[in-house]
Amino acid sequence: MDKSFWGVMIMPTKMGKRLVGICSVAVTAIYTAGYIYTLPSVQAQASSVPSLSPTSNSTPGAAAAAHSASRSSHSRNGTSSSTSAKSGSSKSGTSTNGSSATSASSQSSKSSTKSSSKPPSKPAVKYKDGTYTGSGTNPYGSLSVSLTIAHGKIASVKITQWTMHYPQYVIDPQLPQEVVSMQTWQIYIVSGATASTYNFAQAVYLALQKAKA
Amino acid sequence: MMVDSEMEAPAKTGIQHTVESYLLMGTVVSIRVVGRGQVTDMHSAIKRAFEAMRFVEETCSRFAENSALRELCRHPGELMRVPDVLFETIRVAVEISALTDGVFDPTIGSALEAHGFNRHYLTGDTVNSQVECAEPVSYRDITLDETERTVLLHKPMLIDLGAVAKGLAVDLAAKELVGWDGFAIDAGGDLYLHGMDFTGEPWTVGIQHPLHKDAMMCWLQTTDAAICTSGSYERRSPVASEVHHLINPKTGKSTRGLLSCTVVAPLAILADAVSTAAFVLGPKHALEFVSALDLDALCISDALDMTMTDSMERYLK
Repeated sequence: MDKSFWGVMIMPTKMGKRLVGICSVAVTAIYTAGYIYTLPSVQAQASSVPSLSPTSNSTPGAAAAAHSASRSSHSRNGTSSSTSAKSGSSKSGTSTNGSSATSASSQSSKSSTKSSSKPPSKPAVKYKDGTYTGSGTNPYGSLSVSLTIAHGKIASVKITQWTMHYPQYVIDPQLPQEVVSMQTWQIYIVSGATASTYNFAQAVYLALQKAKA
Repeated sequence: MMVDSEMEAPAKTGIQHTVESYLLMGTVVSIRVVGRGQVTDMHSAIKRAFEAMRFVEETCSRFAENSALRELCRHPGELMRVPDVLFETIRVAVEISALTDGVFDPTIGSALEAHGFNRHYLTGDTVNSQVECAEPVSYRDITLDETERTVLLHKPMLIDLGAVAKGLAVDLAAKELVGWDGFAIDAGGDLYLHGMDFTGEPWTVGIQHPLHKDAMMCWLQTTDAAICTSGSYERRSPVASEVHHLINPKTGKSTRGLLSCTVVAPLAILADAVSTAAFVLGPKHALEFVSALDLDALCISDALDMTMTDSMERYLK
């Protein structure tokens, strides 16, 4: 072991526990404080300059001095761009769920609902030979696949259309190959390419649904 | 080996799953949720999780003019009271800095900016903090007051919290998803996994090949853990191509010898910071550093050799 690095460091294993502790406390403290962010968010510490009232402080942000001390939940001058994520938000969450992801997510939830309503036993899946298409969409674009069944098995998967915001090589040919070798539409998370991974899985899933019919 | 029965997923009745992705923090962030219950409830939970992440970005980003971080950096030499999120994030960054004797250092913002890591990922606009760093700075030039929640920057500096804030965002998102049977948050290399995936198994995660985006180096299977990868292959300096975004504050240069370092830890903020520090420490010290902290890591060298801590093997699939 090279002495130059740890040098005078003491008992690193204890350091590990300490770090975990510091991180847990930090995450919990931030979560508990709530996600209120108003501008200006940073102020000179008025108490350090007792002769000045908070509002006559020299820093531009001084007017909001009361804000961070009390963690008050009201926002100032309409500059707040986040909402409380605590108690009230579970109620408001459902009513404002009109994000751009809705189309993709409703589609995906549909497919999951469909498959989960099937009996839990192990049905022998039989695919009819032929070529089937499917597509997947999310806020970053869409892709389509063409899937060929030969002798009841997935013989090939080809990406036929791609409008994702990043290049196709991120998942192609790795994922199509995986579908063929694993004989399933279920593919795992690819770090850094999840959006297209999911689109791809969805597209293959839909194509396989057609192959079953 | 996967068999035909697995085509009929989800394997368990009544188990729903869904996924949503957004562009956040310079990357595509995807959250998937698995569990019993209404899919609409899942979407509400995911929405809250994204709000938490957006909050971290708004407050801690070096790229956003209006962030609390940038505001703090406009006031060197003054005792500043900052939002809790910024205070705690700086505190974690300073702790890791002290632990690594400055190999990890959040005051590296100006150096990153000078190397051309200064483009906002959404607008593409060049960000210039106007912070003039005439003299060398380090984490020792930051003073934190725990009771008053104040930060004092002793010199002009540009703080970069990139190596902790993304992890923090993932951890906060995880808090919003508590209660579901399983969830996976993927913020481009920073992952947090909980419970089961939609087949009822622990989550399986591919570790990307550093040179071939279409290939995996290996697969890990775990749950209730964070996995973060720091790699030199994602961000290259537009100014000098041999420079990547993981710069050693002590030398001002980017570390050679490793292509990526993946750390498994109980929290993403920890995994993120430790993987960054380990990467910068380089091939000689990375694993020693991580195992001394009782965490696990997997490193991929320039020569594509894979090395890992002893207890890392249990995650390999």
